[in-house]
Amino acid sequence: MENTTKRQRKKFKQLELVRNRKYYLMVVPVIVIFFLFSYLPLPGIILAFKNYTITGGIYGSPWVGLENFKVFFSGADIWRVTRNILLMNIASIALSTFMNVGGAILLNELFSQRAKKLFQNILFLPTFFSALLVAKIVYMLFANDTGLINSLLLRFGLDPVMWYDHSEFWIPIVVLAKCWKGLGYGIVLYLATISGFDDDLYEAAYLDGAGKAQQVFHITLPLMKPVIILQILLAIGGVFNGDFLFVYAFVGDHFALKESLDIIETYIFRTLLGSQQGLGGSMDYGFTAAVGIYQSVLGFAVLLLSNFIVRRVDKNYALF
Amino acid sequence: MNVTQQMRSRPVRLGQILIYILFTLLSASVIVPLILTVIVSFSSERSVLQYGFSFTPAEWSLEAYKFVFSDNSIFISYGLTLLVTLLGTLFSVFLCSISGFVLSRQSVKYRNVIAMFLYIPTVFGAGLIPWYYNIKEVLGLANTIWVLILPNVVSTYNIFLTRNYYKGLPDAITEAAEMDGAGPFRIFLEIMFPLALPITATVTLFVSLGYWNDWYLATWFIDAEHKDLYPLQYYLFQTYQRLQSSHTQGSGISPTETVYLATMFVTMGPIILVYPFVQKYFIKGLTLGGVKG
Repeated sequence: MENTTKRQRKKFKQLELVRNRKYYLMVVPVIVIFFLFSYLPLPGIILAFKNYTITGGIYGSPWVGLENFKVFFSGADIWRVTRNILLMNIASIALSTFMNVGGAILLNELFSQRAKKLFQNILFLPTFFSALLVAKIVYMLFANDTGLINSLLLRFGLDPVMWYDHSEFWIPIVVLAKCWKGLGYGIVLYLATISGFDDDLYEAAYLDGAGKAQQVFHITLPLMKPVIILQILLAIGGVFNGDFLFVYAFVGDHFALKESLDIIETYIFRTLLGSQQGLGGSMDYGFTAAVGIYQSVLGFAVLLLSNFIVRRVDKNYALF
Repeated sequence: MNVTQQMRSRPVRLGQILIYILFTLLSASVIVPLILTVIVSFSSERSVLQYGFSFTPAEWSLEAYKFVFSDNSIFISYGLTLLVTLLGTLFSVFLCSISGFVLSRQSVKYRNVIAMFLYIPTVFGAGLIPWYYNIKEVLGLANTIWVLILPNVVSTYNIFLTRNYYKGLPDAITEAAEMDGAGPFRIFLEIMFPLALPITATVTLFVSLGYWNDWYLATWFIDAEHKDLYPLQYYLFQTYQRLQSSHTQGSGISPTETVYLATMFVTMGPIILVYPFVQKYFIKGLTLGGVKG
């Protein structure tokens, strides 16, 4: 008697897939899409070790070993694009953290709830701006002949600056534009954190004679520290991922900016598809795949590292 | 007088004023460029070239808008972007919700296996080129409307976000419905989906904004022979490239900057119009999405 129930139960368990088949059917579309767009590309990694020809395709093209990597590693581009992507990302992580945290703390100090909300809503608007709009706003400010800044300089009898002829200006400008675009979003995130803090702490500090600045430095910031650290670490995990559209929109046809704004993504794009825009692309899948692997490996290493640290700080926020 | 009021009556006035000044300046940095965009789009190209971008153009003009609407290509892009946004959002929200619901069910034994399957690609990607090669050469989706919709239709993050929300809903509801003999799909559609409306609204807003503003997929997969498949942002980008090159080749003044800004204003319009009505949902959704699990 007991034996049969056991067996039945065992059978029952085996049939979980059948019993819950309707549930499983409901996720089939998502599984198919993930398979097609995330798992099917995986064999394509071998492109990096091949000299791709159209007739040979991915499997028929001849193997070339590490030749594609050698070409990339021996060129000057690798240093330039890696430096640019790192500079841009590290600078924007630092600046945006400072601006977002500072902005949230200051905004939180406003007495008027209506003003607080109004500022928050206005600053949130650039979240919706496309990269092209941001690039154009910057262009209207900095354009060599028609920009507002140069018009102002001329009015005061100063020499205009040819911003778009000098690549060295552009990493700071792009970083600033990026932080400006993300400011509202960041402020909203950190304000949510601050609003969770206990009011009693501040009242006690006030009664002990602590001023506003002391309250910020001794209560608000220490309480925010874990959240800030986590945000920074999560951002560092993506330090080798560039914002393709942002850079692409800024560079446009200002070729002087390419030197300092070219990142791995735009480099791959131009090398592969530049021919469509008369920039001499070669449809060289092999070489560009090698560049992509270089980026993936670096990115993965940094992700592992930052995740390792995140785990130490707060397990709940670790990615894996 | 309680403590909070006392705290406020102190001479912190100056601080308040400084904060007001700072945030007024920051807000101006958002609003003033928008006003400038509109003003320049209504000024004549000649006054832009002569006097630069200006809040008080020497000469007002509608020529940029005449140029923008001189052919129907912007309407084609508008229609396409609307269609892509609509279809993409619909698919995306439906797929996210339904899989979020299934993955939240305790009784589904292999839910964590599926979650792992969805999660792995966020850590190990094949990289840009295999991704591109797969969509173009293997799936053959380049230069079709589907390439603008499908590659981004489901995101692991959104699925996990919705799953966490469904997890927070009482299990008893589903169990009671199961007792009554309702199938999983009916339970999802008629009971659980309406209960998860807040998270659905948030995902809908972010996904639709993503589709509306996207031109990444178009830069990779739509070539110059398929102009009818240019989403608005990409149309804008290409318009500028084209105007610039004709500007440098042609003689005389052809509207370039003003046309670009007019086109930009036309593409941006809906977002600015809708923004006041939806921004509070975005902000709510952001604080809701802050929890990871």
